[in-house]
Order: sequence, then C-alpha cells, then structure tokens
Amino acid sequence: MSQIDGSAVASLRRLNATKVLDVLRGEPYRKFTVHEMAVSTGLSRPTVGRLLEDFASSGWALIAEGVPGATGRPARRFSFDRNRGLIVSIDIGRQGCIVLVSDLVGNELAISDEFGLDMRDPNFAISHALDAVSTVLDTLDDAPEVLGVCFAAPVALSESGVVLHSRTVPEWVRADFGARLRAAYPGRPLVMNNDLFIMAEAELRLGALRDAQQGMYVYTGTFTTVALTINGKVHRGFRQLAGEIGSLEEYRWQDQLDAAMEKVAPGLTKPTSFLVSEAELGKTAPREAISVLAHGVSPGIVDLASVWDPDVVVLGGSLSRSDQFYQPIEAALQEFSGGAITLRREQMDSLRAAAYGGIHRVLESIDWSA
Amino acid sequence: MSHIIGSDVSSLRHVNRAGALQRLRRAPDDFQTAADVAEPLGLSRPTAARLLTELAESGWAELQLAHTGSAGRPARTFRLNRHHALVAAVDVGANNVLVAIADLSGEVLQRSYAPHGFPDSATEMSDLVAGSLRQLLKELRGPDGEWEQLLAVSVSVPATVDRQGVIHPQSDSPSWATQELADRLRRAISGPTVRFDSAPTAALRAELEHGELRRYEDGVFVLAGDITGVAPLVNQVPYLGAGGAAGAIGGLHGVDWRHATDAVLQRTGAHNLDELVSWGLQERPDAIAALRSYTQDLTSGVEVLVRSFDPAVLVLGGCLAPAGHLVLEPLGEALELKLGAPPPRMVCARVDHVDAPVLGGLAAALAAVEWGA
Amino acid sequence: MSLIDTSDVTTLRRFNAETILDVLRAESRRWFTVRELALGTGLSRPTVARVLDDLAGNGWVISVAGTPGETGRPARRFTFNRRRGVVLSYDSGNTIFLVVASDLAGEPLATASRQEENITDQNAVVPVLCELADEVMAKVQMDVPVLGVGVALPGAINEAGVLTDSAFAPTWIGLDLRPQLEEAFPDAVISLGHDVETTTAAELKSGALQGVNSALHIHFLDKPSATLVVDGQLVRGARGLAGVRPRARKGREGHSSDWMALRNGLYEGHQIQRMSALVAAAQSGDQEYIDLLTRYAEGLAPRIAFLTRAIDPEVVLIGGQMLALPEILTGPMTRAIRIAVGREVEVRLAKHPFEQAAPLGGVYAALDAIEWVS
Repeated sequence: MSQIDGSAVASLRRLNATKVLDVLRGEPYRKFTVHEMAVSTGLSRPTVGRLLEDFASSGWALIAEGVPGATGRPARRFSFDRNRGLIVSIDIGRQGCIVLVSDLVGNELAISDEFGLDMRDPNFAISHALDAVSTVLDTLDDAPEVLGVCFAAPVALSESGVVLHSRTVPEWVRADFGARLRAAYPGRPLVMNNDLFIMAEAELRLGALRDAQQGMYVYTGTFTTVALTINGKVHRGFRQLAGEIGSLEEYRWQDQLDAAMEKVAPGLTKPTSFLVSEAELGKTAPREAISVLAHGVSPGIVDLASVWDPDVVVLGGSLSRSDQFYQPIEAALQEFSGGAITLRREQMDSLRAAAYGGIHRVLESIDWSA
Repeated sequence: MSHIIGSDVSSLRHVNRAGALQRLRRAPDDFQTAADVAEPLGLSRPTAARLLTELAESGWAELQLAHTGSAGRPARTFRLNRHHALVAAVDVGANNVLVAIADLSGEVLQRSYAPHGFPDSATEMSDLVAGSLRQLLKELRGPDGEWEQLLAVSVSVPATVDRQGVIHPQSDSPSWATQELADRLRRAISGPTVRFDSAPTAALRAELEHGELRRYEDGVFVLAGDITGVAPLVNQVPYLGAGGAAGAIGGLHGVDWRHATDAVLQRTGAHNLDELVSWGLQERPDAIAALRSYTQDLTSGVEVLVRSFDPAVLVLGGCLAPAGHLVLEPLGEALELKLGAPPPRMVCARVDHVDAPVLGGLAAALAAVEWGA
Repeated sequence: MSLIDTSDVTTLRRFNAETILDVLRAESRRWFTVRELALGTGLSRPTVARVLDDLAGNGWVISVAGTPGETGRPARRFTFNRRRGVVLSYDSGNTIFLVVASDLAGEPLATASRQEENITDQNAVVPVLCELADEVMAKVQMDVPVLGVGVALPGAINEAGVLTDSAFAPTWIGLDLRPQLEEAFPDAVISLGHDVETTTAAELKSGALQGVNSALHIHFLDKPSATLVVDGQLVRGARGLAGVRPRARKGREGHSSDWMALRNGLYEGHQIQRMSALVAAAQSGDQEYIDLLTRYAEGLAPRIAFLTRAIDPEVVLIGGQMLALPEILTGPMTRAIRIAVGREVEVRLAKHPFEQAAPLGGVYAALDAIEWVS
C-alpha cells in the first residue's frame, strides 16, 4: 500500500495537523493569524496556512477577516469552532437525573435537573436519561452533532460499562449501561465514572482540594459518602469502594439523613437542597434537624480522618452551604486534630461537577484529526 | 549500504539479511513470502525462508501464517517489524532545535521543536540537543525510554560536513556549530550511530526522497533563508567534499547575505523572510519587488555553481521556496543574462522547508541502520 | 514546548552507570561478563566496558580475570563490591536500642543491642547510637566506611525527619537526629523513619506485599498499629499518622484512636504483660493466654473491619509477634472482616519475622538513599 518514502511525509503531516488543532483548542477564544500559529507550532507558514484552511473547510476552525491596518491587506484569523459539536453529560442516581449539554470547550449550553423520580429499574433509568437528552437537545437551535458522551452514577463499573456494584442503588447491579449508551451514540467516545469520584476529581483539579497532599471529600446529597484523595488522585480502592463507611451499623448515615428529611418534609420526596433552603429561611425545625445530622455524621468523619490523616477535608453537596452543618463538623475536626486539619466548603458546583469532570475526559478522547 | 569487501560466510550472510530486510521495507504494511524475497536477491527459496525466519526470531521481522484456503500447509509470510527499533533526526537551526523520531518504516511518531536560545558553546548546545532527544524518547516510550531503542540519529547543522563526518564551520555559522559539537553529541548519545549533515545537504536528501530531485541524476540544491548554503547532487548521491569546501563552493559566502536580508526586511517592514514571501503571495507589489531584487542578489553565487557543475536542475529551497515563480523568474532572467545562455531547469523545493532537514535526516538515519545486525 | 533547562540535564554517562549498577546489585553474588551486562542492560559493549572502568575506579565494582582453559580468550568478570561499605540500621525506642550492620547488598553482618534506663534526654540519644555503632563495627571487622544509616523511630516524623508525635517516648518529641548523625557519620546518607513504616517497607520490597497495589498492614505487637499502602507505596499521611499509629494525643474511643485502650483492657489483671512472653505462654499451651490472645484478635477484628471498609485494600497483611500463632489470628480475623465488610478480603501473613522486618526496612531505606553514582 504505502511506499517507503510515503509514510514519513504522511505521518509528519498528521502530527502537524494534530499540533495545530491542539493549539487552537488550547486557546479557544483566540483568533490566530498564520504567523502566530507558525510561531506556536514551529511549522512553516505554508504548512500552517494549508492546515488552517483545511480545518476551516472541515468545520473545526472559523475564519475571521482581520482588521485592515497600515500595511495593506489584513491577515485572516482562525479560531477553534467550539460549536462544531456537542458533549452530552448524564448524571443519574436513585431519584434524580441531570443532563448537561456543553460545547467543545466545556461551556454549558443547556441543563435539565430532575428529582423525585423512581430510577431503581435500570432499564427505565437509562431510557429516561436518554429521553431527557433528546428533550434538552431539542431546546437548542440548530443543535450540532453529539461528539462525545460522559456518564456518571453512584456505581462501580467494569471496563465496558456494566455495573459491578452500587452503594446506593443495588437494583442496578449487572445493568449494562455501557451497551445502551454505545448503541445510542455509536462511534463516539464514551467516558463512564463513579459520580463521587468524578466530583472529587473536579475539586482536586480546580477546587478546594487543589493544594491538598492528602484529602477527603465528604459529599452529602441524597446520601452521604466520602472519597479519599492522595497526591492529587482519588484512591478508589480494590473494588472502588474506598471511603464507604456510612452504612456501617455504628454510623448509619443514611438513617440519620432520612430522619432529618422526615422531620422537615414528612412523607415527601425532597432533595437535600430543600432542607437547606428551608433552613436559610430561618425556620427552626430545619436548622435543628441539620445540626443534629451534623453531630450524627461527624464521628464517622473524624474516624476516617484519624485513619487517613488528611490535611484538607472538603464538604460537598448542598448541605455544605449550611452553617448548621458546617460548624459542628469543623469543631469535631478541630478538637481531634488540634487545628491541623482544614475544613473547606466545595468550590465546584456539585450539580455540575460530575458533568465537568466527565467533559474534560471526553474532550481528551475525541479524535480531532478525523 | 556500504560495499562489502571480502567473501567470508558471515559477511555474505550479513549482506543477505540486509537485502531481505530492504525487500520487506519496500512494502512495510504487506506480508511477503520467502519466494517473493528469494528471486530478487538471487537466493534459493529455502535459504530465503531460513533467513526470514532468523530475522523474525531476532525481532527484525514479524511472522504470520497465511491460510491459503487449499488443503496444504499454511504459508509463512513475513513483514518488517517496524516497532523493532527507532531512528531519529535532529535539525539544529538558526533559531530552533527540531527533533523527529520515526519507526523503521519511516513513519514519524513524534516531533518536537523548541527555540534554543542561542547558546554560546558547543557544550551547551550538545546538552540541549541530547536533552531534547531524550525528552522526546520518554514521551514516546515512557520513563524507561532509552538511547538503546534508537539505532541511528542524524543531525543537521548550519555548517559544512565533509565525507569523513567532520564539521567545518563557515563564516556565517553560529559559534556552537563546530566539531566539538559532534564529538560531544557522539559521547552523549552512546549506543546509536550518530551522523551529521550540513543543513542544505539534509534538505537535499529530503528533496531526493520525497520531492523534485527523484528524477534527476545530478543537480544543485540551494538553501536560501535564515541558513544559506549549497548541496550538490552527483549521480543521485549528495556530494560531500573532503575538506569542508563542498557547502561553500558556490562562493555564496562571498555574498554578504545577512546584510542583504536585513536590508530587504527593513525596507519592506516584514519581520522575517517568511512574512515577506507570504506578502508576495498575497500580491503586494512592494513585497514582489523586494523579492525580485533580493533573489537577484543570489545570482552571482548561483552562476558559479552552474558553471562548475552544469547541473540538470537547480532546486531552490529554504523559506524562499514557497514564493515559486516570484523568485524563479527573476533568478532565471538574471542568470540568463550572466550566462549568455538559457539557465538550467529551475524549480522550487516541494518538501516543506521547516521539516525538510529532519525528513532528510530520517532518510539518512534509516540508511545508516545496520539492517539485520 | 518549553525551553530545555540545560542545567538540569543529567549526563548520559551517569544514567548508564546507574543502569549497570542496578543490574549488578540485583544479583549481587553473580560475576558478570561485559557481554552479559550488555545483554542485560541493552547497552553496547564499549559503553558497558567504559562504565565498568569508571565504577571500578570508584570501588563500586571489582573484577577478576577469566578462568583459563575456556575456548577463546577468557572474559574478565565483574561483580558489585558489596563490601565497599556498610549500612547501619537502627531500631530505637527509649529503653531498647538495636543496630544491624549489613553489607551493601543488604546482607546482615552483625548486630548489637543495648538496654538502657528510660532515656528522656534528647541529647543522650545520638551518643548511644554511636556507641552501638562502634560495638557492631568491631564485630564486623571490616575497615570500610559507613555509607548509610537508617533509624527507625518510635513515633511519627515530619518531612524533615523530626519526631512530631510519640506515645511511647513523649519526651523525644521534637527530636531532630539528622544534623548530629550527619556529623557522626560523615560519609553516610541518613534516612529516618517511623518504626511501623519500616516493616511495611520491608514487606513491600521483598516480602508479602510485593506487587500489591493497596493493603492494610496490621502490626500485632505489644503496641498494636496499622499502616496503609496505596498505589504500591506506603501512605504516610499529611502528618505521618495515616493508618493506626500509637499517638500521644488521645482521640475518640472507637475506631479513631490507637488501639491501646483495647489492649490495656485485655491485659489488665494478667501476670504476663509483654507480648513476647504472652506468645510464648500460649505456644506452650497455657489456656489463659491462648484465650487472652484470641480475645485480642477478636477485639481488633471490628477495628480492622473499619479500616478495610475505609481503604478497600487488595490485601490485609498480618504481621507482628502474633505471627508465631497464625491459627489464633487468621480464623477470627477473616471471619470478622467478612461479616463486617460483607465480602471476602484476602488475608496474608507477613513474610519477614517481626524482629528482622524493621531493621530490614531501615536497610532498604538507607540503600535506596545512597547515591551510587556521583
């Protein structure tokens, strides 16, 4: 097929194309001239010019005519076309379904956030999620094609996307979410993750765990779970279950959370954020319920901290906003460590953190030269 | 490939192994049989089969059994194992160090470039080059990336290199482009064969391998731009002099090249020749005029080359090459005037001028590999 | 791509020397030819020969002429000069000090120990270590320099090697041994560690934790503790307290604090108070102590179960003096973990006998810290 002399030139051309696209994507809001791109990549102007024109015709780059200056014809400028495609992010749980659609730089274009569903049947759960995606896409004018998909859920997954186990939705065990997603978006990169880990990674990369040598991410949403981090990475554990102490008899975090919700919204299915917003209105019952909850979960948090020896602990989820939740936990950690452990609130929006973490990974896996 | 002298069995075997690999290299994606290889090499089929099997055992080739569908035994087929080792080319230019690493089929796996910051000494430049190469190897092969996976490295420099591989700096060569650079690099990169070329010779090799010079027996390659120089082609082989004069025989270093370049850039306001060329291609009259007069300054040097070599073709490379007829026409006109006769055929290099030295270097590195050893 | 910082570029010769030395040290009893080393490292023979010359010049390698009578020219052979120096590994507590002197391949040559009255004065520590060094070097009878010193301390240490917390030697808190040791052993590289960590290091390097990604290492000793391994490496934690370390600061009862409370409760009222004696009694069939140790194991099980839930390790490793009585330990341990964690977890026994493990870890730490090629 190829000759000895052909492969060197062709392979170099491919490498050069990838380099140019990487530079465009790296500064997606910048409009590059051919000269600027040549300097950034160390390629010749003719090569760069040709590549940029190719990318413009295949739709990866946009052309903007430059402003006329003193020296004659203005230079054309090229920028990455971040609206050439979409990334879809799905985050499902036992009662909720979040769908976020972003452009190719990760900017949020549309989001849908449902709570109070009964997602325990895995077939229903994934079908509902895919329907939600269609609905969201319909809200966009001229939606470009979906180029990548990321998926997060409170599960431990196999390589191919089959649920191995789940701390919170045991009914999903053995469900093959990977197959359903691949069937819905054939040929597109698919990134699947445990939602807690991906949120912790978002805090590690850009948030409150950025400078932590050893960290803990305590997330309270529908459930309270903890992720352990070390040297910038999440420690997942042999079965991806590290940090899972909440269901041990002596802690019973789930029961405590249920009790708090029962006090404030008896018989209703409400998200944890409801508890927080009621407390923010100044109502006594929710505030007390949150305080009791905080005192109930802090022994487990301290025990974990005693074993993991973190320098930073981050509270995530809507409850982290509440002082009634934050302060008792802070006091307990303070007493235990003599001030050596820093408690912080999450910096990433946990509603979106799972999505963003996944989007970042998907963007890395797209074959831009195609 | 060098001439084999002597006829003892081991060297003949060596020749045959190398020859077999050359046959496999021609079609690096295809599996070939012993019969395919035996005939052109003048060997019997069993000998070729044994040779190829040895090559597969030592990792140079891959073996695959091809089921022919008939009731007979499946045929053994062989293909070059492109991943068996790597080759590299480094272009140390006026401003940047460009490194490329390729597998044995010539496919470029990684390319890197970085401004070198104009180091003062050969020692510094040698460390920089070795470091860049090391870095790229690590990127490719992980933290255990080692020299020993490279079989050959070809380095191009802005100075002349004679046929013994000795570097001869010219008057416009940077201070680090000396024989000391070659010695230090050879010590630093221990394991692979390390060879050197002048920049124009490397670009010439690229043009020979991938561009305009394939069809010609002889010619002259003129490199004009940040680096200037000349590389003659004689009998389809780059001509390397014995005493370092080969790159300078055009008397081009007699032209005050730097001055002419600075003058034309100042007059037009272009940042560099690249920009001037692109303005010319955009049909800006001032740029076209500047290119015209600048090119004509080349004429006296080129005239000497033409008279000495009587080449079949003159290839213009370097950053002026993309300007095409904007430089070829004025050059042709001026030459005709000086020669009093039509000039030789003149073309612009086809291979991209920034990548040409490494592409040429990779071709040279592949040729320097001891295939089958 | 960024500019290469030329001041940082390691010369290739050093890199090659390290590669060759790694191969020589890995099989420290073997005599290699140049050809074998070239094959083993992938380097060319001239390079190998050149590097061996350098290494021989520095004394790291010794050579011997090949034996005559082989076909062709007999090849010279080279080996790592393991007797070029000595490494001292100390295990120190405030009453017992132990030192092991090993050669550069980690093979023990001699030991010495000292039992002192409770040493509370920090300045008295290094003199004891030096006296022990003299004693053990006299036994070793080699006139070679001490090239590495590893000291295992009875408590948590910070990045700089200063003792920050100790339940057993609280008067040593703030102890900074490094400067004095550097003065006492000018040719040596000093490496300081928490004693429970060095045993884990030994198991990781050459014991039952080789190739394991994540683990809990339970130390069944007089003072029980646990260390963690994540990503194949010991987890020190932000303050050197990851796992369960006996610590000066008392914390919550339950799973958080050290396990001493359990131990104290169990030991109370019994004649024998030292683990080694307890184990001996149990081994000789004394039912009282068999029961005590069984209750100890069962009492620790839920705490270990908590750790297992927290870390989700691949392996739970049992070490310490109780290794002598595996049948008492492993049964209750495995059962209790399974019940508490809800699944099987692999339980293994440590490979190195407990007395050897800490000094061995110290030896590895010291050998790792030595810069073989300058």
